[in-house]
Amino acid sequence: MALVKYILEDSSEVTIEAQVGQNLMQLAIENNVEGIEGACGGSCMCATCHVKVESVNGAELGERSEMELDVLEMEIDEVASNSRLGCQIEINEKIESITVRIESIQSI
Amino acid sequence: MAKILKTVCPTNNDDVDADITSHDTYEKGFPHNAFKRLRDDEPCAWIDEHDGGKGFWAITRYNDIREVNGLPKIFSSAQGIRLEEQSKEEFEARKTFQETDPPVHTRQRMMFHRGFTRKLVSTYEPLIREICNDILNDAVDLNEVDATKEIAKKLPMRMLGRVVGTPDEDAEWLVSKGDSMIANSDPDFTDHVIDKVDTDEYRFLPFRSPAGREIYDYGEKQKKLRENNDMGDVLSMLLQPDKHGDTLSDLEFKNFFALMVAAGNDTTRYSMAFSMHALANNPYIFDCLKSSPDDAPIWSTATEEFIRWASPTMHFRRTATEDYILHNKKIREGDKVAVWFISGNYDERKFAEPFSFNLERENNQHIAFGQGGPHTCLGMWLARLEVKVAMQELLKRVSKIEQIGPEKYLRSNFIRGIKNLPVRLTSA
Ligand code: HEM
Ligand code: FES
Repeated sequence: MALVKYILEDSSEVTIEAQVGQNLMQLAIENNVEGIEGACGGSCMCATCHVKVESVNGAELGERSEMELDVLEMEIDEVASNSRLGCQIEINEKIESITVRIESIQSI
Repeated sequence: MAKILKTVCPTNNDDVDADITSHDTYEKGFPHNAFKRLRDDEPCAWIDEHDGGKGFWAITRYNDIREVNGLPKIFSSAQGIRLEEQSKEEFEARKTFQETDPPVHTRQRMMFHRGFTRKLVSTYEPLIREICNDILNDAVDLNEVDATKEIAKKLPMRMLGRVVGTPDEDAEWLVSKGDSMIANSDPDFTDHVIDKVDTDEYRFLPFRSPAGREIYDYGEKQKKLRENNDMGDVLSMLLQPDKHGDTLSDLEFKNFFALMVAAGNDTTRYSMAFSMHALANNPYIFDCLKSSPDDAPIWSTATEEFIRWASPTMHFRRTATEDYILHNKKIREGDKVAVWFISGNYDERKFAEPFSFNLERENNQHIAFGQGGPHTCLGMWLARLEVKVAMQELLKRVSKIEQIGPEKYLRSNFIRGIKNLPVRLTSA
């Protein structure tokens, strides 16, 4: 179990307990967290689960895959070093807590 | 003024036992009560088909639809995405990348995706806005018009054409071919009504329609025009190798072109038609939006709500590749499974007051674009932009929209549409 804190676009915060194996897009959808659309359902294709990772406790997150980087570059205006696709961050036994800032791209 | 406008969906009350497979049912309007009953009593329901089909499972709750969409290995698109039964040969002859599963799907999808990202599509906004001028000015001049025919039907293909790079003057022809491919169950749109005329000789053509063949040829012509000639449009871009040097084959491109013409035509049209229906019938929606500048946040939430409200693509089909238990029902390997996106969009378990049109609906996670899996709509950014810009430009030109006759619905169990929407437009 890990604590996931989402900072929403209006700067309010929501903290949710996540189970091992859940990813940050799934968790957001299941808990109605505003700003994550998860259009491709975690297929690493759409970037509607874009977040910026502010901090992680307990473990390091792995590197972004080539496909994740490709998709970020295709969809996000300015990809930061902590830009991630929420669906590609899966909670494992080691992660105690993680804080991410949602940068939604639902509207055009 | 109240933020939420209560609008009961146009439904008839005697639709609770409606046959959800029958095209005729939908001509009377979407049978909301029948789907509400399924969501409440039988969220994974076995539905018999009367046209010789084997029957299918209807998945009607929001969460279940996302679950099924998110499991493409178990709920495959590679054995067909429409309910109609097909032989293996027919299927192979007609299939597009929409009828493939990852990882085969992933490669093509990402190749096409290059041309339809939010980042790229948003750069086309001025062009899309420009297209509204002639069509909307003409419609407003006419005063009393069929808003579907004069506005919603004309705009999407002109807009899509401008973005991908087909000539404006071909748009009308593309619309008619797109219609005969998709609306093959409504006699207003095709001479080859699928359940009324023997369409057997077309079984191997794309979308079981001679129009599919013509679109193939047109697509091929567009490709030839761009060989060694970068026209600076999306089609040229798609024909370039991607950053890994991969290119699309001839067949992949032709299939995609036909799919795009079919998918980007009536779906956006009916989203616009339902939007105008809401504007014509609800002065609150009209006033709020008319007084909001183009960049006001309410336009984003309104656009999502227009598209949820319309839900023009009612379902798609998957096929189970293994047994799966859902709500104590055993879906067996080989069974057809239909995910009813429209039902998910009106699921009380997900949406507060789903039958109210809420211009500022918060966290509107609708699934009108088939969200939740790898096949989520490729054109969703373009469609959102098209609907938003069309409604903005329309409201700039009118001081009033009134509906002056009953609307008529499309005869189709697949696409939900208002095919006639008589309105009076009072110019601003
Ligand atoms: C409001 C308008 C639209 C709606 C409601 C809509 C709806 C959908 C839905 C529900 C799917 C999912 C299919 C599945 O699950 O198998 C889909 C896929 C698709 N749509 Fe759209 N669509 C719209 C506009 C467009 C436009 C403008 C285009 C033009 C490019 C387009 C192109 C496609 C393509 C190519 C696919 C297949 C994607 C894949 O299989 O990976 N759509 N659309
Ligand atoms: S949900 Fe689409 S990339 Fe994460």
